[in-house]
Amino acid sequence: MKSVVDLSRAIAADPTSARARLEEFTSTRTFPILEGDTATFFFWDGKHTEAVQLVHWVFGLESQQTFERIPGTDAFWLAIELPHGARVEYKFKVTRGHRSGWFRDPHNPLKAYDPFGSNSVCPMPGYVDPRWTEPDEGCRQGRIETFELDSAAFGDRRTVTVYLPSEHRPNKAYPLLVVHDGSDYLRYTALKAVLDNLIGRHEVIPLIVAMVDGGNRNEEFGANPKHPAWIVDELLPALEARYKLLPGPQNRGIMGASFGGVASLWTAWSRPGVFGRLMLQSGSFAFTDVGRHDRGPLWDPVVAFVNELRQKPGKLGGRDLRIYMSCGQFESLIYYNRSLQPLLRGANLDVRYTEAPDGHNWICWRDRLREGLTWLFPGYLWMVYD
Amino acid sequence: MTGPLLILGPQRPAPDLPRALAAHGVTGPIAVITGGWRHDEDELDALRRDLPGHKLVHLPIYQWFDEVHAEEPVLAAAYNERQRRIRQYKAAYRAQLGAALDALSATQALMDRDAALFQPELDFIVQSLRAIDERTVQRVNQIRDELPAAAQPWEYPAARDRHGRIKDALQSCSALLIAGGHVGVLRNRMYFLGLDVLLGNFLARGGLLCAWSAGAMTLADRVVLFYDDPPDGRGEAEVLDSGLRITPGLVYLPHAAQRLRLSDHRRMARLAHRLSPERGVTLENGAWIEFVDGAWRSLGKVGAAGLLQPDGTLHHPAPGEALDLPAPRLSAEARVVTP
Repeated sequence: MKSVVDLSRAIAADPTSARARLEEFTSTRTFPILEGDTATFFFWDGKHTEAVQLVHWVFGLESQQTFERIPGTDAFWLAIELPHGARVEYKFKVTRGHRSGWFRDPHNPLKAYDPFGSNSVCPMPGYVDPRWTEPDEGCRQGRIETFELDSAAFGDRRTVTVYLPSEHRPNKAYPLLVVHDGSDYLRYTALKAVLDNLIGRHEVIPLIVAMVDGGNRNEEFGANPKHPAWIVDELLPALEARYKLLPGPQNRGIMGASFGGVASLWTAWSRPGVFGRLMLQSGSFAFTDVGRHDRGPLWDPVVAFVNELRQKPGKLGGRDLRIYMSCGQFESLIYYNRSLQPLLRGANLDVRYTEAPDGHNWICWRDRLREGLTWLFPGYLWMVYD
Repeated sequence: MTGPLLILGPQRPAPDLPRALAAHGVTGPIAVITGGWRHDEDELDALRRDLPGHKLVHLPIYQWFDEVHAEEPVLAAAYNERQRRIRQYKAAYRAQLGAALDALSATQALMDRDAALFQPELDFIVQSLRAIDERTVQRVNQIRDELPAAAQPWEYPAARDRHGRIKDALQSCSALLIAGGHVGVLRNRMYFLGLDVLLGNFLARGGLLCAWSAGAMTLADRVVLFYDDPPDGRGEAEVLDSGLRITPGLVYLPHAAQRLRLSDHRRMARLAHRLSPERGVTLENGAWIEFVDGAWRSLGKVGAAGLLQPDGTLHHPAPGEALDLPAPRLSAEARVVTP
């Protein structure tokens, strides 16, 4: 922030130097400017601009914060405090004349992608991009194959994408992990590279991963009775017919993020004893203590399910059920997740729960994959040197 | 005349085993131990591809161990009880280690204030760590002594039979390969079938012994497990057990670049002092050190092998460089009393 204040003073002292100073300022720094726990966002593209706001998804902060103009210029800045290690995705809302638009930060090359496009990224000091998410030629590569499967439950034909570990042999049995929103996990969390690395380093045991997508995602994943029928009665037998899988719930995992977390927990809840390893990332576990929720009709079955789950969490299974939950501290869902995990623990379930100073986004989910997968399917990392 | 002893790094992505064997003119049948691969120990396709024209004599010690357990229930019960007690005991070792490592960290922080004042304390704690590590080997052996029924497995007919098969196979082979994999499984099953004695004899007879990764680790006096950044826990090295005691004074550290924070010299120096007087030897793909004609030397790719220095740096020997390392032990000398 000090550098912006100095810039502002220098321009005030000599307004004719504004353009040169701004060009020099923006070309010699990386943005946002990070100093301690303060991130200073800066906007200037040389064009006439009325106003700039910071658009972010940090629950608890004003969602569109207005920048301050450097007097006599079209440059704007905003300083906000963020926790150590935080990671914030953002855009700028720029107003010119009567028109406003959302743009990525023109001075920040860091981007994060999701199904809706991309955002700029502000990684605070302490945040580290995990090395295990990057392809490593020292780790053997698994392979991806797909097959089509008719679903009577949903009355359509679906593509199932399957990850096979590099060591896969048809006559050898492996654990199974079913991933909701599999295509997005592959695209936005580098799931294949993550699996190759974690399995290659023996942090995770070799396993088969089946990735599925929802047709009408939100409707299917939102505690829909057809969903467990699709996963348990259709997908699972098809996978067992194609691949040799280890038996027992301790060798079957299911995971997902957001509504995919609901779909995972709902499937495990509806068919207890099938899946014994659950990875629930930023699960949309909305509930009500009294009265109605205000999240819209899509959430009705979800709230009804979570309310029932809170009454009977033991229905999920016993101590042999292992659940990994994670949530970003900048999500509105943090309160639901925080309150669910002690309830599950209270029902004698083996739960590990992690919060991170990040939001409801794919990188937050990616960054927790190592902790979750190694907890659910631990490998022999201390013992194997191949 | 001692046979050549070759220590290689991991054989992926580029295997250098064929070149190493060719350099020593190995032509006859080659015995192969892949017990560290556990259930996959008989999947030799990759080795066969790498060594065309060689007859591979597989010694399926993983499978033989299981067979002996099935055929000798008394031995199996004693052995399993012994292993259970060793695993239980390890909780005490880790508690001691944790306390000493906490003290070490705290004292290292004090060093910045007055190094002269705290250096003796630091030295004391490092000595304590070494003592704790040393004691764990003694205690594990002591636990073994308490269950003598499992001490000499090859005195049981089923184990003696497999021991004999290994002995016969080694008689007919000019080289023996010990692959990597699960170091605990490999170490235990080799001891169980009496390979500690047979390996020494094999070398003493002039046979070529070539081991890589976990296979190399088992040849040392102690097997040290290491992983600096595990997803869970503090990531401090642990002594697993005694090794086969073929190569004294060395602790092999395969995949060091992936498993250790090599650029953290302070941390690496801590490991070096803890292992002392033994030397840490890092082994990456392409590493090749060998003991031939009474001397160690380094071959292989530059930078792939490293000798851990007291200051936490690595010395990467040049190709052909002679290494001042202890000579291997042979035959009876190599044998541990209570495997």
